[in-house]
Amino acid sequence: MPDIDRRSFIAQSAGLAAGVSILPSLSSAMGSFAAAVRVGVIGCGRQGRSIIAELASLPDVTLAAICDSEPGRLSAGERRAREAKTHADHRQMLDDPAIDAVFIATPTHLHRAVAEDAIAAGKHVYCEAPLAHTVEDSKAIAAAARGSDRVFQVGYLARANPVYQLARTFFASDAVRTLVSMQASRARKTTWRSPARDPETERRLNWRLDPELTTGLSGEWGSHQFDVFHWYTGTYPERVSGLGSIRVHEDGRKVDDTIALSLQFPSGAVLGYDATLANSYGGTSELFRGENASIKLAWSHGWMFKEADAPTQGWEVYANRQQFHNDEGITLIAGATKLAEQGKLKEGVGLPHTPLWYGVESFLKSVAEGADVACTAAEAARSTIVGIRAHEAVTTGTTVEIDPADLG
Amino acid sequence: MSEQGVVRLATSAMGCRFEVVLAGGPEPWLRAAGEEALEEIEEAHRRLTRFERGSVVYRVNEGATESLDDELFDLFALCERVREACAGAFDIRRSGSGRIVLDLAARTLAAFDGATVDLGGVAKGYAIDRAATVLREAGIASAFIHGGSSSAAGIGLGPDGEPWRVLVEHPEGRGSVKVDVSDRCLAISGDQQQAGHLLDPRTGLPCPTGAIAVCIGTSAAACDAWATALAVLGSRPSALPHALGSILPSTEGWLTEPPSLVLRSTKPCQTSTAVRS
Repeated sequence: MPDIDRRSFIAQSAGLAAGVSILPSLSSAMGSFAAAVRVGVIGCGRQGRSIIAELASLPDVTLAAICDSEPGRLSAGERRAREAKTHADHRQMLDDPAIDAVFIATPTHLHRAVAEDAIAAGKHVYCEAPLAHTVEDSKAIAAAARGSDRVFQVGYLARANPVYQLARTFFASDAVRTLVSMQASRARKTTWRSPARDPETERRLNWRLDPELTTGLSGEWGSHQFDVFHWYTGTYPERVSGLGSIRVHEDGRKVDDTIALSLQFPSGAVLGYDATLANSYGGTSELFRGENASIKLAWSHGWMFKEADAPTQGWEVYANRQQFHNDEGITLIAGATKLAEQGKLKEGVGLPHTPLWYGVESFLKSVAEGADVACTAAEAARSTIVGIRAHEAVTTGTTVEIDPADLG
Repeated sequence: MSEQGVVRLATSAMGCRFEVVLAGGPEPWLRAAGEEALEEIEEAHRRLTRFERGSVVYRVNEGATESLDDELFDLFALCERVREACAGAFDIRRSGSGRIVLDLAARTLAAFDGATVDLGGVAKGYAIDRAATVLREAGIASAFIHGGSSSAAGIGLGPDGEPWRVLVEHPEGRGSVKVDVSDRCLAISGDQQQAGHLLDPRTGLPCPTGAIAVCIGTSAAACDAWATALAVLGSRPSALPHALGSILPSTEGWLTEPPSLVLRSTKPCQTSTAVRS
């Protein structure tokens, strides 16, 4: 017989005898904040539910309320957060003075109304990206955020991601030198549809496929990746050309399931972008080609590929490497020096948390401790607007100029 | 997609292939609902895998104390209930050693004294439960989900108006049984081909070749956990909740409780797989 008493695995749920709770200190430095924060989540679709799950993994934050106008979505959110108060209307949640901050994970075209209400109610706001579906709404949200003394963070997650932060320091150094060109892509096999049984629900849930409301793959996916290039280079494209078509999902939709874009940056460097809903190979990635090295990023992982004639740097001796066909990539690992000293470099490959966790955690740090905002509304508005112009290029099949005045 | 009005979707997760079969509505709607179900499965994989950095289980195994949302907390509480009820024949601690602490008040999970968590015996069922919930909420009235042909759930009747059925074969070729899984879940545990696949957590030793068991109920996660325990125990324990059905191999064929589980016996076949018939 095993020695069951050896351990104290405690689950005091209904019908089970209570165990003796012998617990070690549960405090953890990571994800712990100076002050407890009470938050609400508005929108309980997939993204909202992912936020709920990340919130549960963070101490010092209480999910006080969740909101969705769709009963099915609200009950799905409730399964993850039974203690949270539920609302069908976000204004009821905003009336609660005990809520410090809200996460906005509604359809993109509803962000402006909800964000303006939240700012007016004096809440700190985390708004999902893209910021809005029109240039006008993007600017309006950025203006409202500017006029607020609360935190406003947008969910362009690269900026809070340790792998991307580390890679950016390499990008800014001589390791890459002159930027030659840029590429990014995202591929996922999905209809991009939510199940809706009547036209009314269809309109509410399938806004991504509504030509009046969507910014297509360029805005909903592309802008997240364009933001990486904006952040790294500190510049924005001057014009974008695009093409798109429906390759596979012939279900009556008007929105392209596959697109290709070319974004021209002021330096002359071009970002080539493609995205598809019809194939999943390669997932999501961004690539910077430089004179001395290339940097490839894939959300939880990053690599640097050196040119043969590039100078060798001291730390490369102990770097972790990975083979890709004929190329050898140096794995970009946050805190690599320390890990190398402990002989644990390999264990540092990949992120210990999801990219979303870092976004949520950095927002709460800004709220509780006044830490710098990872992605401000002003920054996000620029990437959102580039995404909107790229969508125009795809729908018209033309080259669209990006007015620098729009990017503030 | 071959049959008229039937949509089949699949994804890779938890080291196997998950498949969703849907019927009874317009194709775009079925496909969209099926994709939501697969996304639930993929998310469950990302959060529960012990092989990838970034999962809850990986972090716990690295020594972190993890706060859990209500869904995950319920899963770990279920695992503990089954472990207690079957006196350790099912255990999410790898090799049954060390301590795992699930703190009810703080809603946290942590591992101590070298314990590592492995949800291999229950994660597929958990993923299927979540997928089935999503399908029901979308209004789907006819669907079948399985993961690696060893955990399955049926919603309503199949497109032909007959119940969804799973074929279970005897490890020594003594006949197979068809089990009605309409609005029920089923899990098969054990391995007839290869000894050592299933470990007895009480001893850390491999179970004998042919240790196999089936559990039938309304929660795929509970069925998964109990099927593992039943395969290790080799017989139905009195602690198994009455609401759960069991199928265990015997020298005569299958021992099913309650007997009504079996729709009809069929001839032995060569391959062992869960299939819709």
